[in-house]
Amino acid sequence: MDMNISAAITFLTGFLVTYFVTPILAKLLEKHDMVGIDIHKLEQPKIPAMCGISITIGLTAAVAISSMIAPAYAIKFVTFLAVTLLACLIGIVDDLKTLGPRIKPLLTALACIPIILSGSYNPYPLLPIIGSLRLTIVYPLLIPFAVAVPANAVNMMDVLNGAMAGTSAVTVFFILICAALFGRWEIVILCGGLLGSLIAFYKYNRYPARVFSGDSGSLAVGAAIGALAILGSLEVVSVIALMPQIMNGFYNLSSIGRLYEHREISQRPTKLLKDGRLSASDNSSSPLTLTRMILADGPMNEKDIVKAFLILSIFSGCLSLGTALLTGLNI
Amino acid sequence: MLISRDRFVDGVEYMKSISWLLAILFLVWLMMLAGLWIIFKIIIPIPREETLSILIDAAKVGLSASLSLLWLWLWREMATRFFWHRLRKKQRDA
Repeated sequence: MDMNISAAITFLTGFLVTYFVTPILAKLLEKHDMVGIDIHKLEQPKIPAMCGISITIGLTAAVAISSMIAPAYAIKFVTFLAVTLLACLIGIVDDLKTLGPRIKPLLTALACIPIILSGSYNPYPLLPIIGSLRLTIVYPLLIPFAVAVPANAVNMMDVLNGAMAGTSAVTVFFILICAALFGRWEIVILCGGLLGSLIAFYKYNRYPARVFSGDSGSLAVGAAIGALAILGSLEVVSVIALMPQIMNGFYNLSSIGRLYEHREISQRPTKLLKDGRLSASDNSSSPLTLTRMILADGPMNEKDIVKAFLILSIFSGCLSLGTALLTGLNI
Repeated sequence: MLISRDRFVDGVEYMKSISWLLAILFLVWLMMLAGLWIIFKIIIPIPREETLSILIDAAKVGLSASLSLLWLWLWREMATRFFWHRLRKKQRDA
């Protein structure tokens, strides 16, 4: 079957399954009092948490369909799914019983085991301008970071309505284009499934959110992006496409100087004003987050901050496309 | 007119408020490309003398690591300085 049609089928499968599963899951979780408080709203509404599991369910259905229509890539598809499921499981444990700030990255790093076991990686990464590198010994040692860093960076982006799902969808869209440019059709198919699930989830998670993703969704999406980068040998372009998420994580950690859980921070980076807008905290001990930086010029409403996240993601995506084109050059 | 003048002005103000973050992203990307080129085209190809091979290898690793740390430091400094400058300016204007 034509690869474009295969990608369209997985996109539709991911979209439809997530679209129909999310509200059912939300009702079920609400019934069992699995809710989170939307702290950036004046009314502080209770929203069903952990609904990001529906992204993994949609993705599982998409990968199952992919394996049927392109069986030649079944090993890569199963490896990708195993990484995502492991990260989702870690996320569920974190949602139910908060994991420590050091344990969580460590466990998400372990989600890379299926990639190492299946050997579905290419230790000759392509760098822009430079060309191919031979990293046969070092590369397997870097794989845990390649899964843990995006997983936790995407998780740290899940602070506002639609921020995680929206920015991740933009990132995956640009990875899909880069994969198509390099002719990595199996990655195009997987990106299609993930993109479909994310867009369907965004519909419920965007402002004003009706569902929260929870760590079960954000860690799975981040680990899936990391797995796409490794399986498709798209390491550098994926890092560039993920720049806003990495930027947010980097500023957060460098301003506090250690790994931390947001529950540990007494000085919040933003303040909720009486008119419902958010403003940047002027306290020097608050973490420097991307949200706080966007608010440097004055208060904004949540919707506009998320719009800024999306603009940053689109800009990074364009830079990743530029990087993909430069990768073809060897100066 | 597709959009009103007020909406256009609001849009320009909005884009201005995030333009500095876009500029940082672009600079970080350029610096990363430049850094990769320096490491892989200048530092790594430095020829190894037979007698000093270990020292030269250590110097290559040290130089490359220093360059990476400098990149991260510049990235953090740019963001922190810009943020506090803009926040204080806004507070003064208010």
